[in-house]
Amino acid sequence: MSGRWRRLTRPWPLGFSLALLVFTAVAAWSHHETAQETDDSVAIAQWQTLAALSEDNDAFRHLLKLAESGSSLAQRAAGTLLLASRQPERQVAGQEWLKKAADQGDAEAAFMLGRARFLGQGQPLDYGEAKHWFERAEAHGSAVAAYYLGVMQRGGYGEVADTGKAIPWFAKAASRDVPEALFVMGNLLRAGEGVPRDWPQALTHYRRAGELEHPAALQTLAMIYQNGEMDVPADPNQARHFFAEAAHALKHYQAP
Amino acid sequence: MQKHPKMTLIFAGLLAAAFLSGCNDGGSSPPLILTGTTAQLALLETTDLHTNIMSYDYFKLIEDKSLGFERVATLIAQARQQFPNNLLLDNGDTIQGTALADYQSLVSPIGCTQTLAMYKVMNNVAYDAGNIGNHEFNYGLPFLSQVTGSTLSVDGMPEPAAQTKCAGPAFPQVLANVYSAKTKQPLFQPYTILSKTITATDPNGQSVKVPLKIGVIGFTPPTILSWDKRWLDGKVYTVGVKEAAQQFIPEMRSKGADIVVVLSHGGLDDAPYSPTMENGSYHLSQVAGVDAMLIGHSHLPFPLDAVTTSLAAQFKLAGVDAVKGTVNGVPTVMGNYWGKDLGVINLALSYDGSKWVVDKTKTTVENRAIKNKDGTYVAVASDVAAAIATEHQATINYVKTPIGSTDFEMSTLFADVGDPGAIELVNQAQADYVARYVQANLPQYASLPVLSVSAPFKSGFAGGTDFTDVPAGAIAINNAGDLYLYPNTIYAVKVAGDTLKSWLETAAQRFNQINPASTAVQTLISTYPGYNFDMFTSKDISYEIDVTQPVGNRIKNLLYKGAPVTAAQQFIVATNNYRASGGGNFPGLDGSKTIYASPDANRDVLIQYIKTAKTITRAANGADRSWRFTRVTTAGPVVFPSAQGKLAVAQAAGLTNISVYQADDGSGKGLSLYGIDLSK
Repeated sequence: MSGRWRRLTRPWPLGFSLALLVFTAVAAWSHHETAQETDDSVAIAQWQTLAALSEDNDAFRHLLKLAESGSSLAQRAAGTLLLASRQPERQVAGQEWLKKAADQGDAEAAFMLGRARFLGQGQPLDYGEAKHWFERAEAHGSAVAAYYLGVMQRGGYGEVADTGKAIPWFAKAASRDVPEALFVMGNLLRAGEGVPRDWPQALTHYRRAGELEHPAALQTLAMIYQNGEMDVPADPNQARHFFAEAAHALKHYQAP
Repeated sequence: MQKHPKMTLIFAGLLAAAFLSGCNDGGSSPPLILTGTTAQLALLETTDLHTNIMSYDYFKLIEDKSLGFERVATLIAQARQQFPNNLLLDNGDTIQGTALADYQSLVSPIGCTQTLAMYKVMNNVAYDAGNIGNHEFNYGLPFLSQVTGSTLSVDGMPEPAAQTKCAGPAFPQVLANVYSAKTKQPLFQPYTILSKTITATDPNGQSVKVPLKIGVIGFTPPTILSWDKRWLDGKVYTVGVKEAAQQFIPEMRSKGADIVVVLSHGGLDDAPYSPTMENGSYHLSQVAGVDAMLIGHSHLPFPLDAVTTSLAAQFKLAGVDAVKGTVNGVPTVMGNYWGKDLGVINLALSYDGSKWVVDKTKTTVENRAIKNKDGTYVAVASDVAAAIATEHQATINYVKTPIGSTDFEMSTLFADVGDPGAIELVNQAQADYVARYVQANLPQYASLPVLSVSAPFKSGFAGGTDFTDVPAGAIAINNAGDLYLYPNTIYAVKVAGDTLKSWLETAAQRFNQINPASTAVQTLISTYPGYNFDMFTSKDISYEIDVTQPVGNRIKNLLYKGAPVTAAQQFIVATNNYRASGGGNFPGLDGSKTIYASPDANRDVLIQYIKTAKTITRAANGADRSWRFTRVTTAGPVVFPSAQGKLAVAQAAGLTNISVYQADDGSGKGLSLYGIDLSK
């Protein structure tokens, strides 16, 4: 693996074609051993990083080849790259690759496909399709897909809005440390919306989301300490701490 | 201890011993080290300093003893006294994070011959090496190149030969997992090998001077590629921390590193390894040849006492001993953040005849806090403040510098009852910023109206002084901090008319339900926080709030440009990250409506808007009321609190239906009760 790695990190273009050869060979006889899959996922993630440097390059073409040969990891990587494009036709092509990966049981690809359909990336949004893919992703272990299923149920996207029915999804995602799910559970427990009001539990959820650097949760904690909300005694030092942490977290936050 | 230890000759030769003390670079006169020789080497770590040099809060312009390098410097001096063999290492997130950092990078960027204040004080205490954290990339690559005294070879910058090497840190900086797309080489040197002469104890108990080569390698979160995409896209790429370590650590060993210290700007995460994972330190600990890890990024102390450990989920992992400070057996420290702690690993080394090995049973790891057990703080090292007095004062002056002026008192004193005086300017700045972004970058939305909401963030919760209140006259940066209190970034959401209405209905929870027939005194303001009382302040949109109605049924006559807003009508609304991502629990604002998540702070956008406008006037920036209360005659008085003696502010805002009901509300917080005549 380290030998292969060195080839991967070597300067292009010389090392690139070498790596391509080796990699293609390796990929061809993989997919059974766990160790091999881990190895593939590392290598493919690295190809993906290199491919993201420009819209069309050797690394990207290489990933496409792997995707065509049936690697679900490469299909997901190629799909992710294309979906990040600003051009709708590339976004749609990306979804085709994600679909292929998802059809092989790739939870992350199914999630990304669900999100693309939910937000209408590249083509008009389709809540039915979105829900289908989120459910597939969730069934294959995606915690963030559970969060999105909660969002759809609560917001009434393509179905009747029902916070009570959304709670199990949010709770499931929160139990697996999805910061947005922890934050929304904090809000619902605070308001007593869809669940009995429980401020200590709400605080626990905000705190965990804060530990995971969720900016709005950190700001919520700051406000709680600033104003002495939710039976928490006002504490200006804690408020200042959490405002500063919120500012810091904003520099590296990405919504899922 | 051996009685007749075997002598190990690295180079044979009787005269070698004579050169022992003077040689430390592995040259022609290598030293003798007796098998069984032991030594202590203290690794002192600062991390995530974020340019907190002084114990000072630049927003409030007051001292803040709970942080600051000037106090950590005292801990450093003490530790060096205690451990004569030591290395002082910084783990990154060093150059960004305070107004001082912004002043030296954005407001008045330092010149090539100047050293950043942060690096200046670090140079003064003679750091041995430093890592590059993710926040080092926040100001872009040319600035990073300049202030680190590098000549980075990346697209968008001149060839290194054509660059001037500027003043910077006097210690080597290392980073092994970020590469230039142009050169396919590491952006910074991946590692350095420090040659030290340390004091050791030979097997006979004699104190001896021996050379020691310490390899120091640095890693940063690969996630910089998305976090600082606007600076890094297409210019640099990352490789996984594990692969980089596996590549370079053997190279360091082959170049003579006796021990290898990892500076990993990342926390602990035992999720399956990925080369793009944010916190890779757990996996780094499992790479062969790592003798000690200094970690960071998570803003936590590690190790912790047993009580605190139970609270830190990040450290409850298999293989992590959060009390002893080991990760999969590797001594590991995280020195908290903002200059609150100094991390200390006291490595116990012994020479086994061919190499130095770490005796893990005798190695200790600890965090030393600037906060003493009794709640006091260690004294400052006075030379730190002296070294950057000019920069510190310049930052304070900057914070106080007028950026424009206003012809009226901009306050939230009467925002609850209709004065848009402190809110309209924020809305104007936000709407202007978002409208320009949409026109330039989101052509598919270019035909949609762009509106903006903001709220009275300070609305008297803590008493009469807890209001935004900027007097007429000059507006300074710190006034902008008063006008926009929170550390938010601008978000734009696309919402339909029905969501817009429910947004306003939610905000209108600010008011109690008023019974017009009641002759008793009724208080208008509920316990619903003022910071959630979002409002429009624009000629284009108008609505009424009917406080006689229950929550959820109060917004009446919602019009856009004079026509009723329909449920399906689309709008873009400029707001902040907090609201757009669900803060305040507004229906429909669940993160899915965001069409633009700007990296720019609302406060900075406001500052820029004031600088451009220069003169802020009541007529242009503080008189557009989008909403009013639905008129109703009440049998009894309706009252609300605000600061004492401020009726004139309401009158100046054109609120003619306000009167003083009770000059002192009796709360002891400097508040009056004002009456409002809802029939007018």
